[in-house]
Amino acid sequence: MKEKLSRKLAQNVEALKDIFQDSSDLVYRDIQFTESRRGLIVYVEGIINVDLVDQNIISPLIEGLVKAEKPVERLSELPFTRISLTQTSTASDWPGVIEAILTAHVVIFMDDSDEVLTFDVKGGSRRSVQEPSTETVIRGPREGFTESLRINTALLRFKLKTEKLKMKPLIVGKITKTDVVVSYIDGLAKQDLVDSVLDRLKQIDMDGILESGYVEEWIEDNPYSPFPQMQYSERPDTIAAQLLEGKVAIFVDGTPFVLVAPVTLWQLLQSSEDYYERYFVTNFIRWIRLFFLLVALMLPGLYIAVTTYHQDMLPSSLILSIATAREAIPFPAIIEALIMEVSFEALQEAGIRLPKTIGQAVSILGALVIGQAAVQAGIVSAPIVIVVSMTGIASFTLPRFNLATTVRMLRFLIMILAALFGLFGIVVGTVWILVHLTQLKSFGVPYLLGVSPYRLRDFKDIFVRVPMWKMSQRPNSSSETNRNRIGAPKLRGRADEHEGW
Amino acid sequence: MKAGRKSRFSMAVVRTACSVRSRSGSGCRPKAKPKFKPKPVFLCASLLSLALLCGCWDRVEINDVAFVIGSSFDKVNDQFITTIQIALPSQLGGTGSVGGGGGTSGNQNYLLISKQARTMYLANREIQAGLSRILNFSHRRLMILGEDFARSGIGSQLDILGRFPQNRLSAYVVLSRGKAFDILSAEAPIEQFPAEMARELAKNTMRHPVNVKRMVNKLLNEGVDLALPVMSIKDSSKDVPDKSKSLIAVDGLGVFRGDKLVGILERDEGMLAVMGMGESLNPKIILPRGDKDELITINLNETKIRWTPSVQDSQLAIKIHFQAKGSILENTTYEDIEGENLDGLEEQCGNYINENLGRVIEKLQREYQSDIFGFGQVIKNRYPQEWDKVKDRWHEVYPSVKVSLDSTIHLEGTSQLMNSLSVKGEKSNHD
Repeated sequence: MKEKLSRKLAQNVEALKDIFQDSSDLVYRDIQFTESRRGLIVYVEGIINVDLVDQNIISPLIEGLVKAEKPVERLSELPFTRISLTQTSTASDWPGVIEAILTAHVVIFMDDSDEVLTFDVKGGSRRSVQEPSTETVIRGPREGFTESLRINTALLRFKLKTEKLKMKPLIVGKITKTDVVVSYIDGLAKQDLVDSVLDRLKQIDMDGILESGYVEEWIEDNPYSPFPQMQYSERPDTIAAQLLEGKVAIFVDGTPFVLVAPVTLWQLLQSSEDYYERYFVTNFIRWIRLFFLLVALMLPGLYIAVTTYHQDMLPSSLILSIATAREAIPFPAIIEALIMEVSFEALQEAGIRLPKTIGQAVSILGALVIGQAAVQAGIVSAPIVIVVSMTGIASFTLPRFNLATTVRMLRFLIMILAALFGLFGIVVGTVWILVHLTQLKSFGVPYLLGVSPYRLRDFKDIFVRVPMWKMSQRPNSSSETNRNRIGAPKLRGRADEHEGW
Repeated sequence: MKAGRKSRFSMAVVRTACSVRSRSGSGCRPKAKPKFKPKPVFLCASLLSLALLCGCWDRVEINDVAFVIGSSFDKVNDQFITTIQIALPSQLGGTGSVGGGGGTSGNQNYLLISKQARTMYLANREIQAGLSRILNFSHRRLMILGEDFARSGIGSQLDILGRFPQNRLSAYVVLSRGKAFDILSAEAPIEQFPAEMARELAKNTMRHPVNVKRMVNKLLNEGVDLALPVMSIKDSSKDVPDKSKSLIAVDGLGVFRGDKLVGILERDEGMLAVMGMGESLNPKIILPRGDKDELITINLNETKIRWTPSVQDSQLAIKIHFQAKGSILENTTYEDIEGENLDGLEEQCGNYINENLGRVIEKLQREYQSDIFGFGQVIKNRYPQEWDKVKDRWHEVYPSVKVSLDSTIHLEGTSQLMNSLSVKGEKSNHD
């Protein structure tokens, strides 16, 4: 195939039809510019806005022809005399034409011209902005990202009205040609972080990128770590807040989930609502969350260790109640715990995958079969049901699903270690995880930044959240040159604060 | 594909890490040569097999454990009788257990096993030999020593309590009148087990109830002797409609000289002795008033005791200052105690304590020669040189120590009700 377009329309049409053989969604529309000069309009139906084509291309052309206004002699005149669309460009080789057609452009061929005009008329039906279903808040904006990249970047633009907000475009995926936008605030994000992200994205060599998860897996630092090294969010406000802390966001067309890098463990334990609610409330919630992180990780392991190795450690009456409940149970504690934990995981998975109408049946079966019947039948004991339910609730308190899943997996490791070595095993497992976490880095930023390596300033937003007016500087992972978040802090409620009364 | 990708990205990682480091000031070191890295699967498999090799050697399922909740020690001739009380979880009536509602079904929810051997441990071993579950002593919170055992000396048998880690030092120790295992088989419908009931009773005997640790401390320290609460089984009298057959009660204080029980102070004497030790919890003083043996009961809810030693010409003396705040608990007299009479009552209460506690101390000095108040320690702390002279023959010197008592009682918190309700007075017409 010849790379360059031919000057003859007929040849071009033939070549085009050859390229897009068996593509029923391609629309060819013959048009006439003058009495003698003919042309062709090509687009893919469904992904463009047909109304725009009708009103802004076809009808002015026909009207111009009928009214015999100034005849169109050259293709480059069209945007000035006839076509009232904004995003226009030209292409003169076939790859450019093909790309334009496939990325929702209208392509206009003209006889006697080796160039084509392309107009961006993205359209087609896409989901509109809705409340994000994975990150619900009580207080906070209700809008979420959609599958459409432009809407997503626009949602971010609404929040960050600065020329420093950069959006670097990339196209990733040989077949899908997915639009990817790397967004950051110039001056807040470290330049080498931005470079590193762009560099890694450019190295992705794959046929298709369908979701931001593809990108995440390609560019994370430690592919073998169970811990998520990037955060994803459906919420524009979350992304805006992260950008303000000097992070980089990666938008991928076709998914509402936007990636944020780098990430620390503490960031994964925070929800956007932490900053919308008053800090008293936030601190309380945050401690609950940290406590339940430990519960989600340790509780089944502790139960196994205590009941099989360290019966001395519980109060006498408690150990007697556990002994009473376990008296007739045929399995050892580890098997019992594994049965319950695995069935809980299965229940959770079933609940997510099933259509909503069947979901209720799952929860009834789960509550009855796993909860009650198993205990009454003497297959598992009541305490383990409590332990498993507590762990389940605990893992739901973690605001990031990817971290919660990691904790759920590591729980099994702790359980097995507890069954093998008792509390000693739990200590070994915990140390193992901690050592791994201290070594882990996300885009060069230590995963436990703030605690290890210790940074006093970051402590304001790790285990506690100090009031807004106390967080005068951005976290350590942001650019060093531009640290101050707050100008001159002016507090309300001082003794001299009586103006305006 | 995989390898290529890995190397590509490791470059990127190094670059980022280095740039971060160089910004923070230190130089950027080149990354070390890649070492041999075993495949994760191989690593996991070897770790798992390692774990399985040592195979949970300490693992004991809770179903295989017999929890000892109390035990008693008696001595018959040269042999020790150890009795243990084991909880029977199947009879405790939890959901899912076979027994179900055992507590009320008439089945006993505990098991008593007694064995005779030459030492406490050997007796335990005998018990274990006939038991399908492993005995676990870590939840034994009560030990009952039989009277005969205590009289013959307990010191030689205490070793196992400190040596074997499962024996908790916080287990309470009590004495029993007669055989100790009787207490373990008494009826205790209000608690799950008789041992539990006895433990709760033992807990309320003193401000710091005697546990293994305190017992051993008292036995090892010089200048103080051990005193243990005494329990016995009270048969209900025929006169009151009491359905229970036998109940455990604390009714005395066993006093030791060295490691041997030398005597038991009866109920009121025991209470006064505990008060003298500064260990009493809300002691009640019952004062006779008037001619008709009417009684006023006083509750001393705040007590403070101080021992002041003095030496004059190698004559040791101890002055006991006893201060207490109290309130009238019951007043069955018809007299008017408001005003001046209240002072009289305070004085009478103080005198009562001086007199009776003095008698108890005299009894301890003369009859038992047991220094449960720790006069020796008081002297040792204040006059170490004097103590060095007498410490080898302390139990001979002890009876000659002059003890004087000084009690100050202050009654308060009587609120509106001072006189008995049966006394007519002007002030009672408030409305």
